[in-house]
Amino acid sequence: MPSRHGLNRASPYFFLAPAAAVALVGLVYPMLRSVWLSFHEWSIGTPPESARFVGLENYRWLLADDSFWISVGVSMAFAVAVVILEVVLGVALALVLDRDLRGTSLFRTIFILPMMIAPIVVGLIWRFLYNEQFGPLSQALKALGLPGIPWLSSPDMALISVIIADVWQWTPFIFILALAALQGLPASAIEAARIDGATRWQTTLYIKLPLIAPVIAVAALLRLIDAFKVLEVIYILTEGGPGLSTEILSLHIYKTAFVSQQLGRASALSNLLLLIVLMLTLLLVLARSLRERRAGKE
Amino acid sequence: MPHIRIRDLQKHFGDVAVIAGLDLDLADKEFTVLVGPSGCGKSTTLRMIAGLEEASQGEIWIGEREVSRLEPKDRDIAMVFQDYALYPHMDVARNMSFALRLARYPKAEIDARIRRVADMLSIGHLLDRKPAALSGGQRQRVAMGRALVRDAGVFLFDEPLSNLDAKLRNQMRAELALMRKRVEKNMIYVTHDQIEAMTLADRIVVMHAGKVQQQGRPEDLYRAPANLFVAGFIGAPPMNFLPVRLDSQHGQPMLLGRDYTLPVPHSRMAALASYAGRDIIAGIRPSALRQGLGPEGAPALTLHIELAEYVGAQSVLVTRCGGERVIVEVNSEQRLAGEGEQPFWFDPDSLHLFDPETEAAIR
Repeated sequence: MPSRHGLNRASPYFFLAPAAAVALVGLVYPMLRSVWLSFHEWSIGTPPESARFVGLENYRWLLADDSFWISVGVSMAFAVAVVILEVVLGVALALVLDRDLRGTSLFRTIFILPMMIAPIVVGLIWRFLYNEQFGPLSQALKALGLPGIPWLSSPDMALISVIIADVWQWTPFIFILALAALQGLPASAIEAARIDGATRWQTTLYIKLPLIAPVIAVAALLRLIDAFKVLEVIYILTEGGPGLSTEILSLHIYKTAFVSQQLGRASALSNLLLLIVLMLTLLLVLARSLRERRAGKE
Repeated sequence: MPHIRIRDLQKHFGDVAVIAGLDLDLADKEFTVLVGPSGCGKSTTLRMIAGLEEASQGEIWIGEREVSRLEPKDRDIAMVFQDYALYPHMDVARNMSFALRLARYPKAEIDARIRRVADMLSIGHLLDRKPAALSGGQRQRVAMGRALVRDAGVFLFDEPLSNLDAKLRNQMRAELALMRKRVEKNMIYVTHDQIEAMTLADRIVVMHAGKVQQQGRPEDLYRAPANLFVAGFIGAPPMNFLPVRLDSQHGQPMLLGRDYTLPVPHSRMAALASYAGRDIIAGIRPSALRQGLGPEGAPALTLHIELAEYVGAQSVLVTRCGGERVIVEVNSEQRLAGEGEQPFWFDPDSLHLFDPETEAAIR
């Protein structure tokens, strides 16, 4: 009979095995495969044996390629813009709706709806809204006697338009987390601030916002990571155009892999994207732990 | 310096009246304790004075100003909360200085005030700690300190000791009493603990079911409770109640119970004139009953001792007098003096009499 101790030691691995197997097939293998691919030259449709080892050639080529750097720039601009806008709007909405007035629960429900819609559908909705001939936005402008806006057809406007669509869909994510954080705040601390002479605005600035900041930071980080990986909405709206004006990294990867059929370079690209996201995450985690250590010393 | 005047204060939640017409007059520099069981409306009253809860009706005057429509910050008050309500992201010094910083006091003034109050509360060594790094008792002190650095006209305390363990609570209670002597301000203190009320208050306001039952100095409430509720609430162990009927025995008016007879106190003869033949509730404090037969002519009750609880210097005897339970408090030296049936004498004037219908004291 196995000792209780031996059984206990083995059993965690036994229970973890199914999850580990799934992770192995769904996560570890593709990642290793993509690293392997990034050192090879291989086109879709040809047998895997035909893949040719090229060393760091794919990476060297990428780093010398202007369109790569453009799409890095587009991705950065897109991600930073949407995260800032979503955090500002989401937190502001949460502050406004964090009270017990008639109708607030209805508004709360309405505001989180966009998040529930599949990205493809969001893309279609906004393509319709942005349609320069029949779209409601253009119609409204026309009715007001204003000139039309080249929502998706001008390189300058297109990036703004896809940012608006993403902000529309994902502000609710920040909103819902900020609202939950606000409602979890100790009521008496806020009452104490009122007694201490704080106006509503000062209470928000000095008490509520600092207290929900950790939650917002995590939510913003999640959004930042997601913003680097977004694909469907932009694909439907602009396919990265006009020119390369909205070609974010994930779209660039997609095109390299399935339009140019250069899987090696696409793999190298996705590894670089992974690296960027990983570095961003580490940076934020580091900043957070530094701040916590400082707070602990105080 | 403000004197607080409350007129016809009411609070309704929907159709439920939590406070139904409260009148209070609190003299300046008085330490007033609002005391009563859970749900009696004492905390709601305090929160209405603070401005955290809107009054449904009525007036609250602090000094010469009617404040019931003012924001809390405009009422010249400071408050200590039951759960301390410290700002978790600020260290102790910043917690204490928050109000002063909002009011744009000069830094030197802020530092001086914090130093003074921190020394008074012995929390000077904690000033750079966050609330999470403090014990319950320390948080309590910081919460007091945060209120005291402000030169508010009125200090409000909402059950400030109820989250502390018993030993710490006794210690803090004593410190509060000391602090109260150094800070001559109008203070209103809410608690459900009648011992806190008795030890701290200049004036106690006993509340029950949204109404003031009685107010006055602690000793007045103890000696002359106005009704059954106050009689039962103030004093520990609580007063014993015995149902009796006013009748005459051998031509003498007597209070007759089922298994006992009590004399009619001379001081209440006149007041009892209209009660002949009617039911009355007699009350007697556990400490008013003394073991033995007492001096010649002193009335006595024969009690059957069921249990003796040793508390320390005092012991509590759980006894029966016929069908009624009677609690007696005796010195512990007497604890072993006997079991079974024993006589306990008392002074007739220590009896409290109440009308069973109105529950008011008969005086």
